[in-house]
Amino acid sequence: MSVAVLTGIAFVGVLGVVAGAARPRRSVGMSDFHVAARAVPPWWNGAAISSEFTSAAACLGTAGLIAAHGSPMLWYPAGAAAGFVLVLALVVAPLRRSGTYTLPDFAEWRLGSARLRGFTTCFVLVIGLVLLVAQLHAAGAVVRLLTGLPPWLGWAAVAAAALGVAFAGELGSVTSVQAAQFWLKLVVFLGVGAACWWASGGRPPAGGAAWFEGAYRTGGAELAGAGDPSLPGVLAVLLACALGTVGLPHVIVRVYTCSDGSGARRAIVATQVMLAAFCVVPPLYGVLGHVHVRGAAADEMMLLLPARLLPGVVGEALTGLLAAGAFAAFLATTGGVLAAVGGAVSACVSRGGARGGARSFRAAVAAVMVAALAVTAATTPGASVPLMLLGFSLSAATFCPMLVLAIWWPRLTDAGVAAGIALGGGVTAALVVAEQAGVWTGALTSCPAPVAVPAAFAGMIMISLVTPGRTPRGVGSMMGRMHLPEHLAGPPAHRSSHHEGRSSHEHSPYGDDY
Amino acid sequence: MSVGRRVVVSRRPAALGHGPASVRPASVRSFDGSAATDVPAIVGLQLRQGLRTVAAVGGLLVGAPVLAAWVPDPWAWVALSVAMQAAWVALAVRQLRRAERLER
Repeated sequence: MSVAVLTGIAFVGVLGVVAGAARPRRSVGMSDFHVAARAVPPWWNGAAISSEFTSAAACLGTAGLIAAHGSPMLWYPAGAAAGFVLVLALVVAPLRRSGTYTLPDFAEWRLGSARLRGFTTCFVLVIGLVLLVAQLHAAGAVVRLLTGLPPWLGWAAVAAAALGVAFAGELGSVTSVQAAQFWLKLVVFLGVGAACWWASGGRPPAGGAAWFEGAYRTGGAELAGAGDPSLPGVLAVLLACALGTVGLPHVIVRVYTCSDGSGARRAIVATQVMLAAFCVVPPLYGVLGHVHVRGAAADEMMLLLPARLLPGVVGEALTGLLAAGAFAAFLATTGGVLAAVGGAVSACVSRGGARGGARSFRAAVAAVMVAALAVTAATTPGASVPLMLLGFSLSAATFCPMLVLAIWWPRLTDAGVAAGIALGGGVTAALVVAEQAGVWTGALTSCPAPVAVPAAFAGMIMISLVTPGRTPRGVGSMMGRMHLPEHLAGPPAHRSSHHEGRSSHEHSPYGDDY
Repeated sequence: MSVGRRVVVSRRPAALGHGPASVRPASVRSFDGSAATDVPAIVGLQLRQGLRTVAAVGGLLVGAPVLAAWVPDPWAWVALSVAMQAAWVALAVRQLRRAERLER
């Protein structure tokens, strides 16, 4: 089996780097580096967003949770996909029209505070590290399970391929790599799932009624409420998933690669369609796994399924295919998060010229990857869904309120945002630590989002109302820039088009970093 | 008689003012140059449309798991969770159309 698995993993790694380096055009400076991504059509961009979003950790983990905890876990993929409707309704077009790239860029532009950029960069870094560590742990678990090799080889493979893509190409080529990985994943997961379904007899597994017994019983939750099959627990996780999607740093960065506000909206609709296709995967494997692979660890169930149902060479080949699909997913998410976090950190740290900016971006990406590897080595591997959910909870309690209020409420101030983010992040951290220490139990405290999100919104609004003097100058024109469609907003030179896309940064001290 | 009724109908745009048709005056005015004064109106209309979609998402997201508690069939749960994906796509397309009509 290990031969097939290693072949699959190597194939995906090489494919990723080759596709990333396929465009030989070297970027002169960071403005070219990012602007190169502009020609990406909505469908391609939607595939890249879906690819980043359907991480292997979430996909393998959700299927495992459905198998282990029963039917209430079916709602998790639905909740995560619902987040993109919220992105479309509240965030995407105004954010694209603002012309900013990362979340800290947006915070600095909208609220006029360089200090807020540093503060938000810290939170982008924390959320990014949580998501990266989840991917690396899952990759290590896959390698150890399927080949018997030590887990750090899996971490190293993912890290090396992701760094290779980030160093070799521009954002445009990262987009094409991720889009290609999405189609690969979709075909592999659906194809192998269909083969397993056929092998299991082509009819619903016999244990259907037993499987349903898992519905909404009270049960222990892991980190951030993952796997809690009680109704309040499920609803709390759905809230965290939906709102967390709105503020995910790597999804926000993707918006910038669309040509304009309307293109960004279309990319999100395309994402929604592709996610709907992909969301058949976790229930399919979960139902099969519950019957045929009882008692396996959450992240491992899906990979054990083909060999259980089809012994022999066919099973091994299918397992190799699944491993390749899983590694495509690891790479897609890792690459996307790495680019987003690296861009935010390098913009915050360095003030060099265009070339220095490109160099500092690469240095930041390498530093973030090393930090993620260090955290991965220092922590014990657990199930990946709880870690992903922790990232989502943090994002829901910090960046989701910031984006929604900054886009729709002119009276928001930098002090309000800082207070709200600190409050939301602090409440989330406190609840998670308390829950881990065994201080509290119960659905609402085990999943921090239902407490932390309202606290963050309330904090932002109240502190903003208390500090009206800190409202940035020119709020009216910023609101106009975000909300007026391109054709009403004046001459193209004024708006973001091919070369003026970063015009918001021409006046910022960090403008040259891109 | 029927002609008289038609005259009344032709004045309907005023009554449709809550919906997408009312954007027209706002955008025309902004096009004439005084963009700053119209931004709050456009923001308000888009916000209302966005919140309507958010309310629909919230209702479905809470409603489906609660509803499923009364349907004691595992396959209904699977079907419902897949149907929710279709509902998200439909809501997204609807929001896209409405938002673009507001901007026309």
